[in-house]
Amino acid sequence: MRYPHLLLIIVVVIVGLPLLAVVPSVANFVWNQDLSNVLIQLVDYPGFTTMLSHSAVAAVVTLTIVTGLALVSARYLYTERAQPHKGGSVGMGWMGILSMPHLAFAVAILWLAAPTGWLWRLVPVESPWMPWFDRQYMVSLWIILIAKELPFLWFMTLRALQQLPFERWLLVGRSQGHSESRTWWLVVIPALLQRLRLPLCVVAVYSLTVVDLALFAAPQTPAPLAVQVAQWQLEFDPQSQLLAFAGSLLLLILAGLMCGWVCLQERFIFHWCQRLLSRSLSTTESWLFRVSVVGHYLPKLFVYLAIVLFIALLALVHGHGWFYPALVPQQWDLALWQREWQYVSDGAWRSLWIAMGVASISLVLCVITAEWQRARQQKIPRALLLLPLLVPQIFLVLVWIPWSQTELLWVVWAHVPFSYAYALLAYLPAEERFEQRYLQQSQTFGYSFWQAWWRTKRPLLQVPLLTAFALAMLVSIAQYVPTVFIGGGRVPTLTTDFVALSSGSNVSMQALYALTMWLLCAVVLILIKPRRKNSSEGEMR
Amino acid sequence: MKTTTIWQCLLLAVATILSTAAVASDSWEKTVTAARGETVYLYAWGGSSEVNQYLRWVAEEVEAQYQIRLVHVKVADIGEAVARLLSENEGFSAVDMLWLNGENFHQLKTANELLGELPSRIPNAQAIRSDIPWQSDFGVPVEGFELPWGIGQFHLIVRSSLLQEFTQNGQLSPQQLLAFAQRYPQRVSYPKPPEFHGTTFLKSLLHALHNDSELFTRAPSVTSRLALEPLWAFLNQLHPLLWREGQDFPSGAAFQQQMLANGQLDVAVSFNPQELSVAQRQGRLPEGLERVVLGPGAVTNSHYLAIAKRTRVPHAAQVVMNYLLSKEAQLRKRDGSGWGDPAVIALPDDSRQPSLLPAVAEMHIGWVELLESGWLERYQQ
Repeated sequence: MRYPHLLLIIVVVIVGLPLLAVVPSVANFVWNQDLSNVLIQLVDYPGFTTMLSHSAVAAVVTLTIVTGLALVSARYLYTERAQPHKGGSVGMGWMGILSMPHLAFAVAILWLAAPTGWLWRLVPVESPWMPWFDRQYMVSLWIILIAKELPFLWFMTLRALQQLPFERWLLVGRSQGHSESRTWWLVVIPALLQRLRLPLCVVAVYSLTVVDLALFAAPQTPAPLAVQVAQWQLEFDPQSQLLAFAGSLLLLILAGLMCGWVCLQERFIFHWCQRLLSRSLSTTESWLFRVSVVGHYLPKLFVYLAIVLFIALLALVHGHGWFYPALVPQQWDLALWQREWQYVSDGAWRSLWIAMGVASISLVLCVITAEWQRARQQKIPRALLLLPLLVPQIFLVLVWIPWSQTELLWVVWAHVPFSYAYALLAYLPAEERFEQRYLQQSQTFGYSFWQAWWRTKRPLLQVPLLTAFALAMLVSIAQYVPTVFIGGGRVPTLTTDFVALSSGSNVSMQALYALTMWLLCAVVLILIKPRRKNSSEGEMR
Repeated sequence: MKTTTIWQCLLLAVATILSTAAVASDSWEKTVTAARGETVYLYAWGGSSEVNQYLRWVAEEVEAQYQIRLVHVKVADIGEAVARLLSENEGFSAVDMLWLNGENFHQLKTANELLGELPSRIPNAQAIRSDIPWQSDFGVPVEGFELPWGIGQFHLIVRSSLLQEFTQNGQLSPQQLLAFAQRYPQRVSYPKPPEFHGTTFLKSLLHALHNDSELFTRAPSVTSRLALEPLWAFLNQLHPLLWREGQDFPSGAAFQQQMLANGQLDVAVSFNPQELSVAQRQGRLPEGLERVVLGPGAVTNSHYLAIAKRTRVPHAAQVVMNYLLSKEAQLRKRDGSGWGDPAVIALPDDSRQPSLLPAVAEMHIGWVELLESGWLERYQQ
């Protein structure tokens, strides 16, 4: 490859510079403010310890449970995919939940299963079994986060498994007289877990820093730290601004600790597996293994969940005057679509075009980054990739405002750092296992580097490339803060309208926008779904 | 000789007045002409579909009447527009107009980001009702940097059947509220301060517990914390009876309204005097509810329109603002089949429109800070 550094400069300018833009303000804060004084004020703020523990506990609980559930279901995920005739109908149906916007998921599931929800009106019980599954309960935030992050991890698990020669490992295990599930747990799982390190960090950081979901589902007296930081940022007195800054730094440190936790649990499972290799299972352990069979049913359960949520949202959109404990609304109103369709479809198209632009740029940058790594034979630190997810978005975006215009192009640029991070997440692990030999051989036929890349590497890495593209699109579609702040209202999308509506009380209208967003994301996932045929051969085992 | 001079002076005066009027209308003509073909970005909260619908209608009208393109920039919190304005550099702003009040206005006015002298720039400003206290916005003097667009009156929406044994005159004293909460525990709450509905709930109680409206229109002094003691004593009694024993509070008025609709609460709060009838028509609230004022009167304030000082289109923004204050636009806004927000200009009476509630004035802004920090210290652990 010619001029690898020149190409990397493009990446640095497009992604690196915007992220570096926060450095002056952080430096200014650290040097010019009486840091200890601000920290004391932060700690003294009413309810600070509860805020902090709410955030940290939500992240730890989500991370641990999601890891466990993803691991127990990993095996069934793959077999269902590999053997479409067996339960193939279920197949990838759980991706329905993956494609659902977080807030839409929360709105739908609470409308369904909260104590006064539709489900409890249908089921003839005296009182709902889960009175704690309602808005503003910590447990409901955990459940929503777990349910929403699990499909993301499955998605990444599938990709990771495609790169592991685990079928051979299972065969070797069988030839040595070990049961398949033993080999799976003791050999495949540790390898898988290692591949899932980054996605798990993303889950941990997301659970820690999420604002919209937490505002909706978590207790508010006090709110989790990330919510409070966002509220301070929109209060403009110097005091609140300082608290917001200090709070963000604290979240950053917590995020680092959470990533440490990811490594810790990985190591714990690894050691456990190693010890199990040389001894038989204790009673608790064999009980655990038996319980792990629930993993078989989880993906199926999520397919049904997606269907039920779809019906629930559809009903909510069309129900006019629907109050507890009525089973059906006073009347069904089909006019809402007609009235809103023009606005909804406008926003949807704009979301789609922006997402396609953003994903294309992100993917190109992704490929350049990977090839630069090859040319230089060195790896970019993974923590850097997580940076766009770590810095509170509103901070970054406010710093960008003086440098940007309100045109579409700038909005696209503002999305790229976030989409790029997710695209790398999907692409890099696969790319790093590619045998660059193929590319070099093809160059000996007289192709230039990029021609050879297009002819050999692109088709072989089609699956990770498409995955990266799809993820980048989904991330772009979900952006609210960069779209509103940088676009200055010139580029309203489905998401900006949905988030604005979510702050009001018109649930039908919220459901309408949520449903459209969901459909849009689902269409993206379906269209960009890699075909089975050329996928498995595509990657180097 | 003398009489001639007087006559001359009088003539001169009349001529001057006439010519100023002519100049004024002349310059307005020029503003309208200059505004043609321009685009105005109005930043406004986008959470209410009725408001969104109303602004779509306004956009059609100003397009037809003035050839101005009006774009409603929907935000989840108008603070986002303030943040954008304060972060921009010196050039033109992306924000042309804003719908705001209270703290956000205070910030922008202090930062000198708003276009001033609006009453003399906007012809329809002359028609603004004199019986509404719009010159002070949450205790901050308006001084021509914003004009009222509508009126907010804080009140509760309560289930009628339960309410009857406690009050029948549309007013609820703190003691009656406490009795209600004792009778129906876990069924009452209010949005968590510093959410402005929540803060206003506290203000209403404070007014009722003191019966000295003069006290709160002045800036609080060093000893003012003492004046809040009766409020804290009352809340200590009330909170254990509230939703979730007062350990948590709804994140906002919209959520509380949904809980009323879902039967989880018997009380919601609102600033729009017509909210109940509008929400019932839209199918957001069930029948069998009524509005009731907490304390001696509804805390009454206005919500405002302002123009950014660095707007690219000052003429078009003024034309749009003038249209929003016109009879036509205010009539439509008042209409209960749409938004149902009270008019700020004098309009012909309409017997179908519920009248305004008995009002008490807003407090000086200093009290808000005392209330909010005091509340957080006591009830957020």
